[in-house]
Amino acid sequence: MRIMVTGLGMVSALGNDIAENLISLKDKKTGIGAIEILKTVHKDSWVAGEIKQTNADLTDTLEIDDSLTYPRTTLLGIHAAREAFKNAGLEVTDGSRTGIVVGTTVGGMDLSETFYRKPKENPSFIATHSCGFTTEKIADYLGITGTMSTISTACSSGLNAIAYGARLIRHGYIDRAIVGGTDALSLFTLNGFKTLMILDDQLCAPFDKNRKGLNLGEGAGFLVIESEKSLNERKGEAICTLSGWGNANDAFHQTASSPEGNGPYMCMHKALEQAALIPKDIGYINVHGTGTENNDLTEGIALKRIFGEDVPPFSSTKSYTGHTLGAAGGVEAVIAVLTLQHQVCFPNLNFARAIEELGLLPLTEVQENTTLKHVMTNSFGFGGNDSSLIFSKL
Amino acid sequence: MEMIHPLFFQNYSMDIFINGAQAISPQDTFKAESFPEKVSGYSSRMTIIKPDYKAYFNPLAMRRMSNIIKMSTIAAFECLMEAKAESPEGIITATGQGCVEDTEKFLIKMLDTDEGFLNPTTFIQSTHNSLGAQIAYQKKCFGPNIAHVHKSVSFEMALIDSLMMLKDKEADNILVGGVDEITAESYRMKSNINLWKEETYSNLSLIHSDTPGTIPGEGATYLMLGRKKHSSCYARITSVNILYKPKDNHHLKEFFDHTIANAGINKTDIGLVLLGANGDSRYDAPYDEIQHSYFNENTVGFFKHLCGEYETSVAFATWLAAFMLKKQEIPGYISQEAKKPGKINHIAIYNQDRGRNHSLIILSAC
Repeated sequence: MRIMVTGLGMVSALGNDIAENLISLKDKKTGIGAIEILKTVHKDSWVAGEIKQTNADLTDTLEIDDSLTYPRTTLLGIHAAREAFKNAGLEVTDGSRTGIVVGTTVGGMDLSETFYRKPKENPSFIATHSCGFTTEKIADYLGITGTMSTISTACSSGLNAIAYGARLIRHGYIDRAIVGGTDALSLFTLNGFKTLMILDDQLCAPFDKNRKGLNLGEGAGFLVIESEKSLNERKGEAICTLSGWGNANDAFHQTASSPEGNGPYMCMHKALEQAALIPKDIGYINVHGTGTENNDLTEGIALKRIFGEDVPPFSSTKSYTGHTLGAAGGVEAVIAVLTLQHQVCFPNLNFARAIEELGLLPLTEVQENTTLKHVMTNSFGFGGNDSSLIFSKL
Repeated sequence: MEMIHPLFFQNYSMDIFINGAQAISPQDTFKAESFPEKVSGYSSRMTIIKPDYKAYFNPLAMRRMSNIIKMSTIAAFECLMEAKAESPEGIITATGQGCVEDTEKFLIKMLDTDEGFLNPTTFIQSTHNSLGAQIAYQKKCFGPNIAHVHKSVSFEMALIDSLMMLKDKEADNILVGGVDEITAESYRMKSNINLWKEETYSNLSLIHSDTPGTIPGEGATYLMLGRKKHSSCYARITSVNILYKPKDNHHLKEFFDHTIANAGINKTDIGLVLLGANGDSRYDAPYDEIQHSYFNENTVGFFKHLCGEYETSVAFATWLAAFMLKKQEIPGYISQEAKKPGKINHIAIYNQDRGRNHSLIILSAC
C-alpha cells in the first residue's frame, strides 16, 4: 500500500510557516542566534535556534482560551499541525478516521521549570508535563479522534512518529494521520546538553573538520499522510509518497554512536529495503548532522558503508534550525519533502573543510532545478535509537 | 451514525503468543509460581516489592541506575529468560511518566543552583527511551526500539506496535513492556491537584470506595510476544483497541462490539472482565454503568487495588490476565463473584482515564 504525503506544516527559527521557512532556506539565512525568549542565566554564553514568539503570542495567534496555560511544546505543535491539516485540505469532520502521532521529548518541561517551586500558583502545569498532553491538545484543536500515540525516543522521536503513523494506516486502523514532532527550548535541555559538553557556543558547523558541537533549536514539523484510497475518496492532492522507513538500535552506548556507525547503517539499509530501492536511487540526504565530533564522524562512516564512494548530495539543515531534538525528525522530514516538491536542495551552512577520515563534502550552495526522485532523512537519538525515512516522487 | 474504528486484524489469521511474562509490582508477583495468597496492604503510595538488585547488577552500575531502570531491566531479563531467548528481535516500551526520579533530580538541582553545575548522568537517564535502550544495550538487540509515552494508553499503543511488527514479519518476537514509577517527590507534587486519597487510606478497600481520589502505584511488566507458541506460553493476544473521547455510551458499546468481534468470539465467551476502576468516587461511575449495561452476563474483577493507579497499570493487568489463563485460576481478591466459569478461555481488560482514553484488550488461552 502506498502512503501518500498530502500536507506539510512547520514552525522553526526560520519562520512561522512553510513559506517563511522556504524563503530562509533558499536565502541561506540561519535562524540560529542570540537567546532572547528563554529565561536562562546562560543566555549570553550560548546561541540557539529560537522562535521569536512568546507563549502569549502563540496562544493569541492560535486563538486558544488564554485562561489555559499550555506548554510551549504544545503551542508549537498545534501551530504546525494546524498548517499541515489545512495544507492537506482536511476538515474538522474528518476526525474519526484521522489519527495523530507526535514525537516529543521536552513535553511540558518549560511550565514545570516555571512552576515547580510554586505549584500552588498554577497547579495545572502538573497535568501538562506529560508528553501525551501535547498530542491530545493537537487532536482536540483539530477535531481528531482516531488512533493516537506519542513517541519519545530522544532525537529520533519525530521520525519514529511518522513511521508509526504510516504503519497504522497500512494496517487499517486509520485512513490518514498527522505525524511529526514538536519540542520547545527549555532550561532542562539547554543545561542537560551543557553538562554533556557537546554544545558549540558559536554557529554549529556540521560535517566540518573543526566542528565543536551542536546548537539547540526549537520547532515543530508535521506531515499529513494517508492511504491512496482515502486520498482518492476525498479528491485530495498528494505531494509525494513516504516509501520507506527503518529503525534500529546501535546497542553500543547511551549517548555515543558505535565507531562503525552500526545503528545508522542498519536503519538506512532497512529504509532502502522497504522502499525497494538501491543506494544509487537516493538523490539527496538530509543527514542527522548535529555538528558533534561523534555523530558526524560515525554518520559519515555509515553513509560510506551504504553508498560507497558515491555518497549522494547531502546537508545538515540543523545549521539553519539548530537541533530541535524530538521535533528534528518532523522538521527535517518536512524539509526533505520540500526538496522533492520544489526540486531544490538546501545547503549545509558554516562548512569549510572535510573531516579527514571521511573526505565527505556536504552541499554548500543551494541547488535548484534538481531532478530528485527519492530523498532520505536521518535522525539518531540517545539510547542508540536510529531512524531513517525515504520520500519518493509520485 | 458515524463509522467507528475499522475492523483491523481483519482476516487476521496469525496468533500472537505470550511466551514469557514477568511483573514487578507492589504484590509478590515477580517470578511467582502461583498467585500470592494475600494482597499486600499499603497506604498512600503503592511501591514495588524490590527484587534482590545485587543479584543482577554490580555495585557501581547499581548506584548509577534509578529505581525505574533497575526494575525495568530486571523484569525484562527474567521475561527473556522465561521465554528462553538470549535477546529479543525488537523492544517496545511504554511509560506514562518515564524516568521520574532522574528527571526530578536534574530539575531540582538545576532550580536550586540557578542552572549551576549539574550531573550529566541524571540528564541522560531522564529520557523516556532509556528503559528500552538499557535492555538493547545489555542484550545487544539491534532491532526496532520504540517508546510509547501516550498517557493511560501507552501500553496499548506499544502492544499495537508490537502486533503490527510481528504481523509484518519485521520480527519473530518482540519484548513489550509497561513501566512507571511513583517517587515520594512526585506523590507530593501531584497532591496539589487532588489526585490522591488521604494518606491513611488502604488499598485493601480501594475498590467500590465512595471517597474522591485514588492510590498511586508503580510497576514494571514485560511480555515476550512471539509468532510461534513456546512451551512456556501463557496466553494469546487476540484483540487490542483504543477509543478517544467516545460521543456517548452507544459509541462506547459499538467499540466493545468491534473489539470483541476482532477476537473472533462472542461477549459471552469472555470468562472474566477486568475493570480499571481505581476507587475515585468522582470517576468510577462509568465502570459501574458498563458492568451493568454491557458486561452484565460476565464475571467481573478488579486489579488496581493490587498495583495502584499509574499510566501503564494495564500492563500489570495484562500480566494478571495471562497468568490467570495459564493457571486457570481467578483469585478471590480479583473477583469475588460466585459464578465461577468452567474453563477460562478469554479475559478482557477494560480501562479508561476520566472518560478520555478507553481501551479494551482481549487475551485468550493458549
